[in-house]
Amino acid sequence: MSSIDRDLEDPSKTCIYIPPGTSDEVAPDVSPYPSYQWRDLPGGYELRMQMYKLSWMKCLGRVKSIVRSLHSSVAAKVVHEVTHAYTDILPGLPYPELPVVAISAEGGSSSLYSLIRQQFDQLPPVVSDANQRENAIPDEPPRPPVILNHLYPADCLTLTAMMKAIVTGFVDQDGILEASIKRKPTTSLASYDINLLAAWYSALGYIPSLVVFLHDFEQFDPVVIQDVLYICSLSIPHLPLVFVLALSSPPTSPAKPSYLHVAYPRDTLALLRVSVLSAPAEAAVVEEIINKTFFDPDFEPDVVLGPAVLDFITDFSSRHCASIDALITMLQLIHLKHFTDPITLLMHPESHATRSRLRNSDARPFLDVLQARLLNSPGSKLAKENPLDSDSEERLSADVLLDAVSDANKAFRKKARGIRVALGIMRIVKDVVLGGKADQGRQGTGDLEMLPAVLRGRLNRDVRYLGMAAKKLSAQKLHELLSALHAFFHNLESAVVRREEEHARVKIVSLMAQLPEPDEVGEPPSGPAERPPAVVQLAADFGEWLTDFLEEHFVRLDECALWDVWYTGGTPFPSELINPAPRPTAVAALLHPDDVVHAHAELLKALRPPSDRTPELEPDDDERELELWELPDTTILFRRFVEAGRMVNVYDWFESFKVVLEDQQRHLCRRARQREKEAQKSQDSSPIKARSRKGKGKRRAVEMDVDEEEDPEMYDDEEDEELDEDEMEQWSVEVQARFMRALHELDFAGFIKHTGRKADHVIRTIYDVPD
Amino acid sequence: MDSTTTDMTPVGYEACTSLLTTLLTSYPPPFMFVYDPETPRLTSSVVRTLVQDLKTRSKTAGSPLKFASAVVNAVACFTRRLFYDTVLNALAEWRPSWEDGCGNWSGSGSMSGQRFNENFDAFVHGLQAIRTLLEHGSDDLTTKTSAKGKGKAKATSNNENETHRLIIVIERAERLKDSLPDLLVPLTRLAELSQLDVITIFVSDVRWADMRPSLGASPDPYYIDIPALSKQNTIEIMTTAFDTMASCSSSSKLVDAEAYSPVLRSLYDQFITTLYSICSPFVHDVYELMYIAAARWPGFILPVLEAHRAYIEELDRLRADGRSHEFDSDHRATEVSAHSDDEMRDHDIAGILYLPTEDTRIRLVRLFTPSFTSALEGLYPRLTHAADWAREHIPPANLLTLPYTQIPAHMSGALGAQTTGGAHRRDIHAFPRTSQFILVAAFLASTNSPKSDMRMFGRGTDERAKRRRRKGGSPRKAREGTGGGGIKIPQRLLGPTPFPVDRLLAILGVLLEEYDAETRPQVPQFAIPGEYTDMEIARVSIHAAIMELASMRLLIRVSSADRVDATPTFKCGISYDIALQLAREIGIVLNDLLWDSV
Repeated sequence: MSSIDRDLEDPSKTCIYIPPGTSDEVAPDVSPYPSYQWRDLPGGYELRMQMYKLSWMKCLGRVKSIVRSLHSSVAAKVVHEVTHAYTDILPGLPYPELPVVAISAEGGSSSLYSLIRQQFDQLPPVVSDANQRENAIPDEPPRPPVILNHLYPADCLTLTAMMKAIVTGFVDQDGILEASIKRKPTTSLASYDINLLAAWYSALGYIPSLVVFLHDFEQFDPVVIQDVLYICSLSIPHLPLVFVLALSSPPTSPAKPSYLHVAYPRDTLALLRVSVLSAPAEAAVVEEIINKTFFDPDFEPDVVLGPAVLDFITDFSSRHCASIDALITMLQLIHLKHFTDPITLLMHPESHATRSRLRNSDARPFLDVLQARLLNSPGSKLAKENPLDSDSEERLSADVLLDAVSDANKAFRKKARGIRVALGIMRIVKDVVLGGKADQGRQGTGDLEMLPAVLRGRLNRDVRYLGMAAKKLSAQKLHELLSALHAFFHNLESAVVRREEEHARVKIVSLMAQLPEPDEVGEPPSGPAERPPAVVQLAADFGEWLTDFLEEHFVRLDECALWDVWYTGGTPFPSELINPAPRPTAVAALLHPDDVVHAHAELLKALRPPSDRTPELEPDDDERELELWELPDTTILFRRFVEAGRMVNVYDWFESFKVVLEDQQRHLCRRARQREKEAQKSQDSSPIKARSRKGKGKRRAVEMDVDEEEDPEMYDDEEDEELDEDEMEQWSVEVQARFMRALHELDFAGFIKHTGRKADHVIRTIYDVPD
Repeated sequence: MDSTTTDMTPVGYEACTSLLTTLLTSYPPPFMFVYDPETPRLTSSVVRTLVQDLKTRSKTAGSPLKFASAVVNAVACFTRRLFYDTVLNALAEWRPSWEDGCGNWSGSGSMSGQRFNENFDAFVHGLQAIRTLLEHGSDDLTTKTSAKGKGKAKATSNNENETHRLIIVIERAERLKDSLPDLLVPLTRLAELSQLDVITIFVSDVRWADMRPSLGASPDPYYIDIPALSKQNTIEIMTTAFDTMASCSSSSKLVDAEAYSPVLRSLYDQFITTLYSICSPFVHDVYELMYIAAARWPGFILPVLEAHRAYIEELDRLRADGRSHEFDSDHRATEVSAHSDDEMRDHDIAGILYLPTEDTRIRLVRLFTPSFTSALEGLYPRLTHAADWAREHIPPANLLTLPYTQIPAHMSGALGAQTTGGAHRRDIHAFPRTSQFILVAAFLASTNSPKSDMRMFGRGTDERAKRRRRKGGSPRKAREGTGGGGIKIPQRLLGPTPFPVDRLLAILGVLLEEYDAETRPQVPQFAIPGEYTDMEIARVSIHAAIMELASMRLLIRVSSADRVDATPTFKCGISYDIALQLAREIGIVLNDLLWDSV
């Protein structure tokens, strides 16, 4: 408090921070995720974060490599277009065209651009021709075949600025020409003169491509760009300029293949040779990433996604934003959230660090919880081996428990692998058996939407349907399918999976061996009705095997022991973190501050150890709708604000606020007096009871207000009107101060806007306030 | 600059070139205006060649009249300094070199080191210095031999009778009015101001009357109007380009090496005539027609070349079999490009390309005629470029031997090749659902007037049924009939109107509530009708989507992005057709929600 006083006295300070409320309530030492604390290890959070980091890096690395492989073809095309822009020209054109490569990719897809840059850097440098330049020194500067110049909309607001950026972007690049020669600013070529670029280019001594990269192309002014393109087209081909445009908008219709065609007139387009390249659609990329990261037989993620988060990802990417960045953020959040549970410490039960940590004596409570869980879970081996009662007091050693966890881990991983393999097989069968029909269906319902059903174990009907369909396959189709499946098993990279699925592979091979060659059969295309009996038998055999195989592999992962260590299961995605609604939340908090305070108190309560908790809150107290005077100042002001029109007269507002405050003042006095009487009357009543009468939410409001008053007991109902002049003055100053503070709080939160037009009025910024 | 411009004047330009030449070599008016609304690019190149030609001829022929010229582009010279530098450097034939610090021409001999780009006065001084340079050119010869680009000095002699004439050609002169408005008047009176024999020629596709400075500050120019090219001339310009192509052997991978063989010239003439007859109703510009021709010819000639190659191979094979002398005529009859009789035997044996017969040519033209239209449709608006188009429209192998029914569909003119896009292509239809809703809402907000919102989207609290306007019976129409004011043009045709973001969100809320509520994941905590939607439209991702669409220019931000406290306003950036498609995709009947329904 003293520091505030000092600040208030200090005339040099223009701004002083007065913390809200009183600072006597010491904020408890908040540790993350308190609700798990009772079964956590000391320092478990840090350990889990290390685990999280490892798992997330593994997942992120996989995602990145998938993205890179998806983008590499586009990047290679861009590089090819740029490097061949002036070598492969259609003869007979009336005039040379300025090559332009328009890349249509989403705005935040920086990975594509960095990949393109990387590929440009990897181009082999031009070998300096010794014959051409006899005085070539051995350690002359490198000669990149492509010189890049990156431009951003902010650099290019006017034609002069943009031309200057283009010219100096090349000319002032370090390490291309040996020494930059001093130019006189007045008597030499202007820095925005394309002739300067030409002079520089001819001094280079070799002929690299000059690539101008325009980022965020939509943000450039079309008028400026038109002129720039025109000017540049005048100096080709002796200045081999290539423009690369980074577009974020997709083509809108066949008649408008790119933004360029929408915004620029035909005579500008006629100067250009526009190649439009398109990055893969984001929705497809998201699907690919999910499939390849979490449902690929050859990759084993640490954390297996559960159906709830998959549902969320599918919904979010189809509804709001299907970008790679958003997906990565979501996956990271899922990982972070997953590792909040103490039990995820056992992510890698074999790891040495985990084992040695758990052997410590302070890990005992954690192990106890673990033991209880293991003994209770039906799938666990430990439960079978130790048919003790779960209430037995015997404590198993850390190693025994960890071995059991390891076993559970292995069992879980095996099942997860099985699901992935079965999913791969199911996709192949669907593609072959349903053929065109599957493609039609896919447009409506993505492949992603099937995944939650798989994990929830609700795929029996589909599996049976596929089995039925497989039974009716023709010899040719069957052959195709079996060879596709064989290729699938053959191409599995992971040795573990191959070993586990050996049976299936043998089955496929044997089926293939039995199947007569399709051309031997000479089957007419009339239909499966005329299939030879051998094929019918085989198809039936295969169909049954397929149904059994899939049903056997599609199991629910949350039936495994300790599944929640490796599987997010039904945990919902924390969607408010990624897609919050700030304004309604702020409005709701202003309208019902008691709810927010209550929630905060719940959190604090959870923080305290159970022994420390005081049963101070009475539920009935919270149910009651609070009177206006019981609310904090800002809320009172906000309530009045909600009732006002488009503009609020500040004076009226103040008056109405004052009325409420006076009401509040009366109530407080009456209550104080009553309490005093009660205290005198019944000395023996417990202090807790007395405290509990105050509603918690109300208490906060009241406390705040009461603290500012010097002595509430001075006031009485009767004395109310008899306030002397000094007190009256003081009271009105206080009301004003409180009003100003509340007003500024609303102003700061952006609920009011000042108007320069009408004195003493402010404009509301929100209108439709629900109540 | 233009690759096809040759030294010779294109047909159709003889009259104006002879006029210009006569004027420039005799007593030219100081200010001329060349006006060509149709083919300004070609005209510029003609003028450029002509001026260059005059200069070189005057240098070599030893005539008493010497020229120095500068051809500048008013778009490229967008500042005064740039203009002065470019003109003076060109007149002095000075090429700034990097090693010398890219210095401009700065006067000759003893007067060097001056700065001429400061203002118009300095520029006039520069012109005078150039004249001095030209007159005393030979004096500098000894001192300036090392300086690059001072070739002028060598050519001039000390002859006292010589007159030196400066020609400044300004292409796209209409841009002067915007970029250098205060230069326009002095440039037109340059001879007067500089007291030099200097001629200013403006070349433009805008009439002088439209760019003339006010108050008669400029003298009227000598007008040279270029007439539009006739059909015959256009075709001739296009076919002469073939000769240029034939003379310079290009080794592009896109085109067969023999595609521009001189033998095929008459087939090319036929090709161009057909092309012209098909495209000329839509395009006159000779460059555009040449562009289309360049894209189509490689594919057009390919079957002929293929047939020829196959024939040569066959011949070689037969020769190898030692039966070449028995090579019979019936085998040749199966070849499509069966040749005329006598001289062709020599060609056969030598394996030289020959012109196909008349029948084959007619067949070719008939096969390819539909593709001319598709080339025009794809190439004139530059939906694709010529090289790509040529690559995509390579005819199938052995086209000439195929029966007519097997001719693939894309040969018959359909724009098939461009519309094929995989399902995974980036497209506006692949947008997330919310973005589609936002775009439709933005279209509605930009098209409907704010006053109509309550009627179109207002929903009563008691009856949840939509209150839609009845077709035909709107009060607005009644007013229109009686009021007799001007006919109201639908907003859809007038362009989008700006709207504040709050209005967009409100309309979006209505759309989401009515058309999207069923597809949303269920959330139990929202019990009041509309509460869920209210929450949804306030979410961050909606605002993020709006900003992303604005960055794609599918929503156009009208208010300045710098003002943080003001409500942002937007305009819709998509057309009615696209809005209609999007609306159909998300199940909205757009016309029902438009105030001026179509």
